[in-house]
Amino acid sequence: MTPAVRVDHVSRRYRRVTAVDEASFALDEGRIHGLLGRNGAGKTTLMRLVTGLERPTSGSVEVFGNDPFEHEAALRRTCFVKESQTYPDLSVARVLASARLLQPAWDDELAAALVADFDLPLGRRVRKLSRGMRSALGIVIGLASRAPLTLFDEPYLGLDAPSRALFYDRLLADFADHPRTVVLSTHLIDEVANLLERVVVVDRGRVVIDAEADEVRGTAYTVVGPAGPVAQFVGRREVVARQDVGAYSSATVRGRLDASERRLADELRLDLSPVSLQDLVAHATTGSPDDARSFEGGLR
Amino acid sequence: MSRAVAVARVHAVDVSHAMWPWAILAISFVVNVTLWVALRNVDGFQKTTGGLLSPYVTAVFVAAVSISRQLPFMLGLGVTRAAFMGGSLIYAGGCAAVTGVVLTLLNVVEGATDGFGQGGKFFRVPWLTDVPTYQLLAVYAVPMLLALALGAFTAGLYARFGATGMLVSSAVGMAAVTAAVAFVTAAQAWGTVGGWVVSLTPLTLTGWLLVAAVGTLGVTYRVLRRVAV
Repeated sequence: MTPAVRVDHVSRRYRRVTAVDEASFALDEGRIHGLLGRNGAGKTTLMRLVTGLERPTSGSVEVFGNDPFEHEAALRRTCFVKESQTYPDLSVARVLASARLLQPAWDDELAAALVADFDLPLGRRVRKLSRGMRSALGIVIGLASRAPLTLFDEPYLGLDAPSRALFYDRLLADFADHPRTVVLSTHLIDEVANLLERVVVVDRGRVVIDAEADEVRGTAYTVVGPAGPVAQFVGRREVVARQDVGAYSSATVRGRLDASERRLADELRLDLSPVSLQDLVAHATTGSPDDARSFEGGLR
Repeated sequence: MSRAVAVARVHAVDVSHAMWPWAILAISFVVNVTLWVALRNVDGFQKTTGGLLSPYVTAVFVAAVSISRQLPFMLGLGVTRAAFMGGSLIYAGGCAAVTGVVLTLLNVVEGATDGFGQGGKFFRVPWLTDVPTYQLLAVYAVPMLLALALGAFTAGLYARFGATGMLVSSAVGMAAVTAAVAFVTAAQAWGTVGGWVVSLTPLTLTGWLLVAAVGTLGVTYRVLRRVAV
């Protein structure tokens, strides 16, 4: 199967800054992907390259088998909702009418339902909307477009928690009936962790993790208890993070848990808990580039 | 549906911005007619005006603002720069055509009513509109196309090169004009230039404005082709 998106050894340099550095990954059709990383890691630049808003300095990008730059057939199947999207100075209703003209798979019913869900005032001009409402408008456009490749770049700025939950809920519901390739760039990783099927983590422009979300989740665990037994349990295992509070200690250990480890933890009366995707990404992106690479190596 | 046509339709989703030049024109017209009436007994009062220029100048700004907002919006929704340019041109062509028709009608009305009963000239411009009625369409429409092209060019320049680019290009433009003036002076060619100006007819002037509009659109496309929004 041809992937929806293929990024092959792509770099994007601006004068002195390398925003994307030799990135390579592929996104399958019909799945929800997370493009994760810290601020300034290169997520937005990658999305701009994929949607043909920019060209790579080197390497190649393919969307549905074609270089997306000025490629009409590839681009008419994409919809990119940006964090700070510029809108024409029109009412909400007219902005939606505009998007409808440009998105071949647009669904009016879904748009109307989402407008009601997010309580968007159709008659109000976009520049008079609050930040959260403007984000909601972007979400309505992104979902109602039903574009075969839909990219959301931090789409929830100013959106409160219930509205974000609504977004995830509606995304999943519509995705179930109309599977498409979705890319969600976010740093609220815990919120979207359950949505993601595959994750691409970027750090300083480089791809440090490109794996199934489930695979990533099992790659570390935390052990908590009295300092002595924790040290005994950890032994020669690789510790990514450690915290001592009084006589107690908490260590994040890289590796997968097996039955013997569970037994040992039981005997030492230690608590074992999985590490959240958010923490795993944090561990993968806070160390030196070498740490990040060894973390990725641990996945394989 | 072609993408360019879709782009043109998006521009036409709300035509209220296209009303600005007409609103300005209406205000200018009312002010002028009021003056004609108020000063009708003053000897030597010239009942002509440059008010007709106002919608064209307004159109430059309206086009610049509209293009700079629509460009990032439409590119995010999967429109190519080429389709954006093509669709915007279709829409601008439509606006220019409407301008031509409406102003020609108003010109005819003004002529038939002897300047709205005041003997004034608002839609009739000495020399420029002293042409057969069918030529009036082009005389009114082409400058509008040029105005919209200049607006799009300004927006494109800003989108591609930012404020610095605008500053540099206006400096380059000024330098080019200065160089041209210096060149003509050095070549002692002002007589030739003057002769050329005198030889212009309203229709050939319109032709040159059309060349300028097409040239501006061509340069705008070159600027937009690689723009990152």
